[in-house]
Amino acid sequence: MERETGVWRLVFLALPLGVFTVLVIWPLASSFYYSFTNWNGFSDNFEFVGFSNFNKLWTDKLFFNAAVNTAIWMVAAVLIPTLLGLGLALLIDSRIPGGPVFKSIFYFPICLSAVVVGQIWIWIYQPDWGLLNVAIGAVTGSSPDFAWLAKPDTALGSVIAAWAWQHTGLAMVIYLAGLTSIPEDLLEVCEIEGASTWQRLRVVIIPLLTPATVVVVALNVINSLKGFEILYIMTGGGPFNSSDTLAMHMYNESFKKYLMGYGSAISVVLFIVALTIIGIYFRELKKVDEIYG
Amino acid sequence: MGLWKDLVDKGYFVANANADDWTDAGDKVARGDAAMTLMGTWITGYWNGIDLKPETDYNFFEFPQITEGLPNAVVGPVDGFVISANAANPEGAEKFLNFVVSDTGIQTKWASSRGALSANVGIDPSIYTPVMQKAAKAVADADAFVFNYDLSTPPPVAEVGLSMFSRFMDDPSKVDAILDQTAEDTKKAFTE
Repeated sequence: MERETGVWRLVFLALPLGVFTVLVIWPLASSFYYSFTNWNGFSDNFEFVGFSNFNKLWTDKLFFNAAVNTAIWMVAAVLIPTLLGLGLALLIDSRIPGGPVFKSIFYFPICLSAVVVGQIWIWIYQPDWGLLNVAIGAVTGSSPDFAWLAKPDTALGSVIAAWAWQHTGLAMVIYLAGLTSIPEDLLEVCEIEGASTWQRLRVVIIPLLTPATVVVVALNVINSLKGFEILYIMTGGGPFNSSDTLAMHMYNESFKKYLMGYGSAISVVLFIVALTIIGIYFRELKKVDEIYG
Repeated sequence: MGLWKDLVDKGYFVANANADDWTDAGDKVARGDAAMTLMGTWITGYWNGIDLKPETDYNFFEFPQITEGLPNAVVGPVDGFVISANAANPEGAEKFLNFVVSDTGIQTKWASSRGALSANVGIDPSIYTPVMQKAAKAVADADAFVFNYDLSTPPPVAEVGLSMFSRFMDDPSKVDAILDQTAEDTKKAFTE
C-alpha cells in the first residue's frame, strides 16, 4: 500500500518536475556550459575557452559598474518599499477614514505588469509634459524640462522610484496581515503604562512584525534580483550604462553584442550571488521560526 | 566634432535630445516644435499615418556635404529576405528571391506597404509620394550606398560610437574628454 502510494507520488510529481527541469534546470545547466565557450548565440561553430570569460569579468569596467548599480538597486529596492509599506500599514491600521479604499489604491500597482508600470513612469518623467515636471512647475512657478531618464545622475534613481511605487503595496498588505497578529492586550498594556507611540512601535510592534519583515525583505530581494523588465523598458541600462545592472549587462552582452558565452558567465555570477542571498535568507528564516514558532 | 559643437552651442538642437526617440522627434517636427529631424525614409510612413501631407506638411533634403571632395554616399539599412545556410532547397529559395526582387508588381506592393524604397530601380517611381520620389532620386544619383554605421561595424564597436555621440549631446563641453575616451574604448572593442 505504501509502495503504491510512493509510485503515485512519483507519477503526480513527474509532470511539474519535468516542466521545472525543462524550463529551469536545463537553461541553468546550459548557461553554465556556454559560459566556458565563445558562442555568439546562433552559430554552430564555437570553441571551449576555459575560464577566459570569467577572467574577462575582472577587467570589464562595465561589469563592475553593473555590479555596483545592482547593489544600489537591491539596497534601495528593499529599503524603500519595506519602510514605506510599514508606514502605510501603520497608517491604515490606525483606522483612518477611507482606510479600505486607500488599501486598494496602494495595492493596485502590484497588479500591473512591470512593462505597464515602466511605460506609466516614462510618461510621468517625460521632460516636456510629464506629470512630475508639470507638478514641480505648478509648485515652483517655473517650467522645468528636466529629462529624468536621460540624465546619468538620475536615471537609476528614477527607475528605482518606479519599482518602489509598484512594490510598496505588497509590503503594506503583508505588514497589515502581520499587525492583525499582534495581541491587542499587549497594546492595551502599553497604553495603560503610558508608553508613547514611538515606544509602542519600537518595543512591541516592530519586534512582533519580524516574521512579516522577513517575508517582505525576502520578496523584495528576490524581485529586485529579477528586476529586468522595468529597467529594459525605461532606460535599457542607459544612459551611458548609468542604470546598467548585472541582469541588463548580461542581456546586452548576450543579445546585442552577440557574446552569449560572456553573457552566460555574467549569468553564472548573478546566480551565485542570488544563491548566496537566498541561503542567508533561509538561515535567518529558520531562526525566526525558532523564536516566533 | 567642432562643427557639431558649434551647432549645439548656437542652440540649434532641442533641449534633452537624448530623451527623445525617433517618434518623439517626429512628433516635434509635426507640431512645429522643431524645424527638422535627421531620420530615414520610414518616418514618412509615420507622418503619413498621423495625416501629414507630403510636400505640404513635410519635405526632405539631403544632408549637406561637410568635406568637399568626399563621395556622395547614401546611408541606410536594408529590409530584405535571406536564405538560410542550412536551407533544404537553396536553389528553389534563390529562384524565389530572384522572382520577388525582379517582379515589379511585387516590389511595388512591398515598397508601398513598407513605406520604403524598392531595391528594384526598375519600378515606376509614380507609386512613391513626391517626397519619396526625391529620396529615390537621391539614392539613384549617389556615388555609393553604405549601411548605417551601427549595422556595418561589429556591435561592440557600434556601441562605442553611438554612446560617444549621446554623451556629446548630453554635455558638449566635454567633447575632448569624450573623444579621448572613445579612442580608448574603440581600440579595446576592436581587439575583443
